[in-house]
Amino acid sequence: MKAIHISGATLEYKTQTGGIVRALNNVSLDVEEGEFIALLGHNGSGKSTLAKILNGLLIPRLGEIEIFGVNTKDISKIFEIRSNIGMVFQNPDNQMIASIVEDDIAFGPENLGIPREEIIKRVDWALEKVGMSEHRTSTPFKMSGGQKQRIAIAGILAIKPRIIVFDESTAMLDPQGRKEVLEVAKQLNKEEKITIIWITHYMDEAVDCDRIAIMNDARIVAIDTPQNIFKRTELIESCGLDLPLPLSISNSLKSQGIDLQGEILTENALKEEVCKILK
Amino acid sequence: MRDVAFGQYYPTGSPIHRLDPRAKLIFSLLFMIFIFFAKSYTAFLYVFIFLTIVTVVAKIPPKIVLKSLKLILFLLIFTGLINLFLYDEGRLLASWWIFTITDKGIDFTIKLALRLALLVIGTNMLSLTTTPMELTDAIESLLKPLKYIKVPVHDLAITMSIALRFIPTLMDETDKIIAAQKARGAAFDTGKVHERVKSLVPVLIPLFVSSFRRADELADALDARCYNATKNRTKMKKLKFSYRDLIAFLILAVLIVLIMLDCYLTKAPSDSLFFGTDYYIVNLFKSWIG
Ligand SMILES: Nc1ncnc2c1ncn2[C@@H]1O[C@H](COP(=O)(O)OP(=O)(O)OP(=O)(O)O)[C@@H](O)[C@H]1O
Ligand SMILES: [Mg+2]
Repeated sequence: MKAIHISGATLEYKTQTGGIVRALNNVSLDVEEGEFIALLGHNGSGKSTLAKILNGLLIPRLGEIEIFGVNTKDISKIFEIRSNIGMVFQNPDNQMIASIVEDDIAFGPENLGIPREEIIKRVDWALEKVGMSEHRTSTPFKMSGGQKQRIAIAGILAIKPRIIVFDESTAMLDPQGRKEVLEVAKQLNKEEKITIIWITHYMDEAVDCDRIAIMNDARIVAIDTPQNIFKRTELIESCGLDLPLPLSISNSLKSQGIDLQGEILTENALKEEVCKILK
Repeated sequence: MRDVAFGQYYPTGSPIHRLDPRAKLIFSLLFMIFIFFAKSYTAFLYVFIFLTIVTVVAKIPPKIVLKSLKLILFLLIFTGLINLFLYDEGRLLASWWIFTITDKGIDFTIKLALRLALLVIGTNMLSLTTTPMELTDAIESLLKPLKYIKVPVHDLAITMSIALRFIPTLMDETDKIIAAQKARGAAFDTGKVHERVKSLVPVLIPLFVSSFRRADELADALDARCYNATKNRTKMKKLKFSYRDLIAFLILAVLIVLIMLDCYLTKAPSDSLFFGTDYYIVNLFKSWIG
């Protein structure tokens, strides 16, 4: 069964001035269970809107969305969908509802009416998964952005979703925090087989995912493996995105006639190739 | 620096800190009610001894406990002076223009100040030994019966919890906005009062705008975390009364009984300056001396 199935989703917003903005234009997307998909696109390309139609926060005007075969238009099953697909947002401060870490993490399962003993187990487990076990009874206020965001992830994990959408969850973090959060997402994908939709406009976060989808002006304009996507330099640039730094360096080295092999996406690959040439 | 989210909470992990917050809330209410039955100095002494025991068991330094008095010092002095000079029953000791000082006036003033001070110290014990979050849980639990008359108790509790959660965040944000406006040359601590008030407008407006944006995002986050999924919501933290609460209640009950005995059983003649047990103690003292 497909984890996510979107066909022909179209959605407009009314603006305050009475105009209409089309945020999704006939978007279709299929995601297999266990995939790690990066969704890239410049500001205002419709990424967050796409995220919000996945768990029924928004219902598109046209098109169908199914999460593990359940249609988001089926109001009676909306909480089945929401407990299957968790969402981590951009600002960690705006997704926490309690002043104590463990209370915040327990919020989701409490809402679902999970028995007390099970909630305690889930909180333990979720905190361990994000590496925050020793902060169980502290207050998140003084923590770093990366730590806060990991707590937000734990709060989602406690719902035991099979899919997690990260909507620019690293955008407000320092490089260290970004690394921590991305690491946690990758680990969840590998160890817990959780399907990940990773929304970002940092190219370098997308290099080792399973597939990359690129959004531009309310449409998905390309979806393919990173290797194939990064061959299409003009497409990436025409969508207002930057190539990952190692790739753009190796491209300019190649254009200078230096003989580098293959598509170089990471710093390590660049280092190795350059070393080979120098030897 | 301690965290603003915890208010006045003074963590020591004492048995009093570990009492059920519902019990502490009820005890505080009982204390507030029964301190108004304390009418003699003997009764105030009982209350004082009780509060001393609580302070020692809670392991809170007396300095911290007395700090709460600072806030009401002005009120104490002000009401004290008014009572002292305007009370006109009893034996006249001194008088000037409309001001009079009588023996009953002095007695009344001292008792009023004592009662107010003990009341504040006693109720402040609650916030020193209980976190605001525990209090929220306690209130939610105590109000639970109101569910049956369709009061959205749980929504109110979540609202309270979120409000507590955002106090430090918004304070932080206010500081940042003030710093930003200062950097642009705004002055907050000089000028006439109405100028200062006016200079707050460019702080409040961004604060409101950002709060609304936060509220929007928070609403999505609540929905995404299955808020309202079921009416049979569970709670991870279950409040449980224990033997400790019973012991604490018994100690409080002793205080209440002593106060009530003093108030209703020990009869002093109505023309005496002294009330209740005080009268007997003073008489005993007199006969002992003379
Ligand atoms: N509530 C709304 N009302 C009106 N227009 C909106 C609303 N939310 C989004 N839009 C518009 O819809 C378009 C898509 O917005 P969306 O938030 O999905 O983009 P995004 O790719 O997530 O951008 P960003 O990178 O800035 O987060 C934008 O043009 C935006 O201005
Ligand atoms: Mg967005």
